[in-house]
Amino acid sequence: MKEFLISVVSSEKTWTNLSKFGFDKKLEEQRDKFDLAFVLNGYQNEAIEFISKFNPDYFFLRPNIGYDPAAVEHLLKLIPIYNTTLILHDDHWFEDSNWLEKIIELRTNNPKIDIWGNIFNSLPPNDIEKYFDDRELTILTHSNSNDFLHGLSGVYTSNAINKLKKFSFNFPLTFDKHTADLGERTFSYALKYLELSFEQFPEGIFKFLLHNESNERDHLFWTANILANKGNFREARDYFFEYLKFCEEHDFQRDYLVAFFNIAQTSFVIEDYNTAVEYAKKCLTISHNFPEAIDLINKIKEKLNV
Amino acid sequence: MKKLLISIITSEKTWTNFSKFGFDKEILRLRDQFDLSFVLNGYSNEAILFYNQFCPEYFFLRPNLGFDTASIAYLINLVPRYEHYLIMHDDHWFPNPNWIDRLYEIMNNNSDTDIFGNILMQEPMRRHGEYCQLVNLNEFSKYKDFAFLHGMSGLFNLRSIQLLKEFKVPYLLTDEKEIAFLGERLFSNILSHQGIKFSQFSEGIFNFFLHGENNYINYLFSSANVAFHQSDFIKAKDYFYKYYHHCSEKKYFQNMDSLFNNLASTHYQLGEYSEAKYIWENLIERLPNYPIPNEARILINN
Repeated sequence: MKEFLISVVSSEKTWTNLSKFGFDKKLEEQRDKFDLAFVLNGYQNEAIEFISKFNPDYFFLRPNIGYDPAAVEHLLKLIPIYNTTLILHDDHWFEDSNWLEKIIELRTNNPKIDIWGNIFNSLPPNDIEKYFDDRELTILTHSNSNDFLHGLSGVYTSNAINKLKKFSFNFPLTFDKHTADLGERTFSYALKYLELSFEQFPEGIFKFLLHNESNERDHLFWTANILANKGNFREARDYFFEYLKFCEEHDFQRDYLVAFFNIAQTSFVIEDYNTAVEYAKKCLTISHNFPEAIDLINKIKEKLNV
Repeated sequence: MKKLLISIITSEKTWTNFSKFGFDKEILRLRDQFDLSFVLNGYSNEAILFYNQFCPEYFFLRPNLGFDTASIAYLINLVPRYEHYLIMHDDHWFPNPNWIDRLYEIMNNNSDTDIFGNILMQEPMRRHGEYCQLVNLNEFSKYKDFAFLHGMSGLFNLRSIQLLKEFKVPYLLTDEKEIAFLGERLFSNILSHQGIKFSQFSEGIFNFFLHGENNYINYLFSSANVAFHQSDFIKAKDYFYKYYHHCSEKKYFQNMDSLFNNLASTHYQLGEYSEAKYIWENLIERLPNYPIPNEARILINN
C-alpha cells in the first residue's frame, strides 16, 4: 500500500477520454509511485479490458446511474484511507510533466488544507433547498458560501476522506443531469458542514488540473466569473476581454455572445457606459432580439437621460 | 444500507456455480433483506453481465491471482461497516428455504461467537512454517491448530471484520494451489491470534451451509475426522462407518484409503486391536507404501 491513491471515475460511455488526453501514458509512466483505483459506471467489456491493463489496486464496477456524485460517493465509501487521495474523472489530466511531484509538494507545504481542486463560485440553483429536503440533508445550508469544488475532484487528505466516509449524501440514482449538478453543489456544502477546507490549485482554475478540452478558454471565463461574483468587476472585465481575445484567435464563434454580454454587463457595473453600449450592440449583431442586451441598453439610456 | 452484507467470491472460471446449485434464485427471492457484493477474480464479460442482474451494492473486479486468500483479504479490506457479513464462494449454498431467518436468528442469539462456518480439523500442513516465512509472519509458525474455517467463509460479525481489517491478512499472488490451502489454514491462525472466536454452524459440517456437491458424504467424513481429533472415538467410529456404508451404496470411492486408515486408528484408540489390525493389513496389502502410523506397523508385525 503506497501513501498516494489515484482514483479515476469513468463510465461505459466516456472511458476513451483517459487516452484522448494522453493521461493514460502519464499514469503508466509513474505507476510504481501510487496505488490506483477505478470506478466504472456501466458494464462494458472493452472498457474493463482497457482499465485492467493498468493493474488497478481497486476496480469498482457499478451501474451507470446517478452521474458523478453517485460514483464518487461509491468510491469514497469503498477506498481505504491513504495519506493522499487524488480523485479524477476520466477527462481530467495534467499537462505539467511534474504533476505528481507538485501535488506531493503542495500537500507537504499545506497540511491544513484538506482538499485542492478547481473551485468555482456561482449562485446556487433555486431548488437547492428542496434538494436538501428531499435527501434528508437539512443540516446543510447554502448561505455560507457560493464556492464549490468542480466535479468533486481534486487532491484529498486522509482527514477529508475519513470524514466524508461517515457522511451519507444519499445521492439519487437518476439520469437527470440537473440533479447531478445539485449533487455537485451539495457536496461542497457538506465540505463546509464537515469543516473541511477546500482551495483552488495555486496555478488557477483549469491551469494545473485540466478538464477535457479548451482549458485556457475555461480558465479565462471561470476566473472572470469568480471575480465578478466576488464583486471585483474591473478585474473580471479584464478576464472577459482576454476570454474574448482567446475565442477570436481560435475562432470559437459560439462564445462571442457570452463574451460580449459579460463585457457589456461588467462595464455597466463599473460605469463605463460607452463600452457597455458598444458590447451590448455587438450582442445584437449576433442575436437581434437578445433581451438582456436590449434591457442593458435601455438602462444605460435611462442613466444618461438620452 | 441493510444489517447484513452477503459477499460472494467468484471467478471467471467458476461463476456458473452460482446458478448450478440454484442459489442465484434464492438470492433474488430474498434480495430486499440484505446488501450484496461480488468479488470477481478475472475479467469475464459474461460473468459481469450475469452478476449485474443481481444489482449488487458493491462489485469488485480484480485479476484472477492468489486464489481465495487473496480475494477474501481484498474483500475484507474494502467492505464498509455492516452488523454482519456472510462471506461465501460461488459454490456455497443453503438447501434450507429458511436460511436467511436462521442466519438472523444466529446473529441475534450468539453474541459470544464472532464467526460461524464449517470448521474442519486436520493436522497442520507440512509447508506451514515455510508459508509463514513467505508472507512475513514467522511468528505464526508456532501455531499448530488442527481446527480451521473451511474456505474462510461463513457468517462474520463486525468485530471480526474490523480486527481482520486492522491485521491485514497477507497473501501471495501465485497460481499454486497448495499456497491457497496454506493461506486458508493461516487465516484461522490469524483468527486465533486476533482473539476472534469461530464456531461450527450447529447443524453440523456441510449440513446447513453447503459447499459444491456431495455434501452429505463430506459431512460424514469431516464430522468423523473432527470427532477423532477431539478424541471422541465412539462418535468418530459411528461417522466413519456411516460414511463407509453411504459410499458403498453410492459407489463413491474418494477418500477410501484415508477412511480405512482413520477407521483403523479409531478402532486402535478404542482398544479394538483385532479390527484395527485387519483393516491396516488390508490397506497395506493393496497399497504397500501407504503412510500408516507406527503403531499400525507394530500391530501388524506382532
